Amino acid sequence: MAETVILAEGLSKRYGSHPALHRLDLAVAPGEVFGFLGPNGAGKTTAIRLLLDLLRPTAGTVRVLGEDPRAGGARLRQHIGYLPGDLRLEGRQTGRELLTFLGNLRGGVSRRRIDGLAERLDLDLGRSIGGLSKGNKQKVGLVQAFMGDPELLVLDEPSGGLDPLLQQEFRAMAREARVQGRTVFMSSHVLAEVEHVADRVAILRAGELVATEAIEVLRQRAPRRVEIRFAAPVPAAAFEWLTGVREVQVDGDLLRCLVEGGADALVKAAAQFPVVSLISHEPDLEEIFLAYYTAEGGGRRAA
Amino acid sequence: MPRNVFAKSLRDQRRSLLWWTIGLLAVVAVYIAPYQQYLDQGALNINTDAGFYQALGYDNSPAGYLQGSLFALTGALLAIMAAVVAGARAIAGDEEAGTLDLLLAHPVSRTRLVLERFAALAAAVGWLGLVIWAATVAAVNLADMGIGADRIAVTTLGLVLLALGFGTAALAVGAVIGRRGLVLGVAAALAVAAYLANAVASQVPSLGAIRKLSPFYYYLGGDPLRTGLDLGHLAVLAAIPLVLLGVALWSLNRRDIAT
Repeated sequence: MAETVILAEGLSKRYGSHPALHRLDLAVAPGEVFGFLGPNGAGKTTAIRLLLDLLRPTAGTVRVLGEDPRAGGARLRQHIGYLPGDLRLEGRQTGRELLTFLGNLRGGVSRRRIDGLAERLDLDLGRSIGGLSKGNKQKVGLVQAFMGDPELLVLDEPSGGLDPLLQQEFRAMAREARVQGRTVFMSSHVLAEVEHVADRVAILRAGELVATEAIEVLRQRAPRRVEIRFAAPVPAAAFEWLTGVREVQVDGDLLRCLVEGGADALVKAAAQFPVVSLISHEPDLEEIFLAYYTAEGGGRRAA
Repeated sequence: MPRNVFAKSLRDQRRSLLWWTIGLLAVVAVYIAPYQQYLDQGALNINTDAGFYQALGYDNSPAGYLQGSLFALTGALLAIMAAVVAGARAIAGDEEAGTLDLLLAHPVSRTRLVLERFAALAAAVGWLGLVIWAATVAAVNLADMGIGADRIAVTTLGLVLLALGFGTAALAVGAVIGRRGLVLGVAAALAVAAYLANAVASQVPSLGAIRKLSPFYYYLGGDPLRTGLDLGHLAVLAAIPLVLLGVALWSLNRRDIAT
């Protein structure tokens, strides 16, 4: 097995004068679940389609399972399961017909394997695809991506259209794939979708990589919302200038604020007053995301 | 279930192929089978000196009538339309629908996709040719027109290659631009231009050279219903789809696939 499953160096794609992807550097290790985050239009789909040789880069190189996607061709794609971000399926066939055909293109996938996955996702294979809801079509897409047990799963917005219960089931499938030594590369514009499954994430904005971090590091850097209730009203001035404390709101005896890095300064300042209760919320990756945005000075941009 | 792109493409075309088959059978039944009745009623006593009729190769003889009504007109129109619609669907239709993305993410090379789609197109057009041939032979015998099944076969083979040429043109234009509407427009324009080039040039002796640029010349210019096989003409007709297939392979292999 290759040392890196995905290795991009200066990978760029321009459409005319519009840079959809600009000098992306990325290394995904075997057995990793890698989250690829960014708002819609950030270049996630462009990068993913470059991995599958559906697009050709304008600059830079990319290796997938050690091979250039174009040179590797059909033989390389035998080892990749792909879920398109904008999944379109021809309507005049049943789910089973389509999945059997797509399985045949991979050299055959057993009926049992297809049935098993469909059952897990609660998908009715006998129905015509044209009559399926968006969520059910997405299930067909997930089944075809997973059914060949590929070494690498490239999933563009995998949980789009799935209800929360099925999102959970999908995450379980992704974790199982990792346990089996497979690599999962999944994109999302909703951080909560990758938070509980990814080992590392890359954050993309307007075609450029903002950060690549282990999910744990992100969590530590993450701003936490803290609420402290005191026995008596407190002055806001006592908390406003503390390091790592932002968005201070004092409402009588209740303090609400956002804490970055350590909570030491806040705790010591609070100790001057009688504390009734202290609640620290789990970090929300949405806020991490925004923190990276503002730190990089770009602000939010929807391309 | 289909094991490959070729079989799947044919399967996906089965409904439309059925309709084209019915259409062609209807045309042969309406135009050719009642030849003797039309003749007896005097319906065919037309002054065929007009350039229009001459361009079609039409006269009141059985071979002239068969060519003018079926092979130069209705049959050719239907066969070419069927081929162009299927050819436009082969690449551009799938790409515009967004389904090409998932297919090409599978272990299917672009070369294989184009070759198998072309093979499916050729099989579909070949089937329609078989329908035209069988129906025409039956109708010609019924109407006692005295034209051999072999000459009808040679002429139908020319029609199959001609239609395959325009169908492959649609496939190739699709491989270049990937937009189905545009592909249909370009292919239709090509067919009309080629038809007119042959028809007009056949009536204007000074334009004789232009005529040889039109595939229609190699299809009916040698009068195959009367003279039979002309290998040279058929070779030109066979070369056209092969060249266009090369264009399709070259262009699809070097460009991005649209979502």
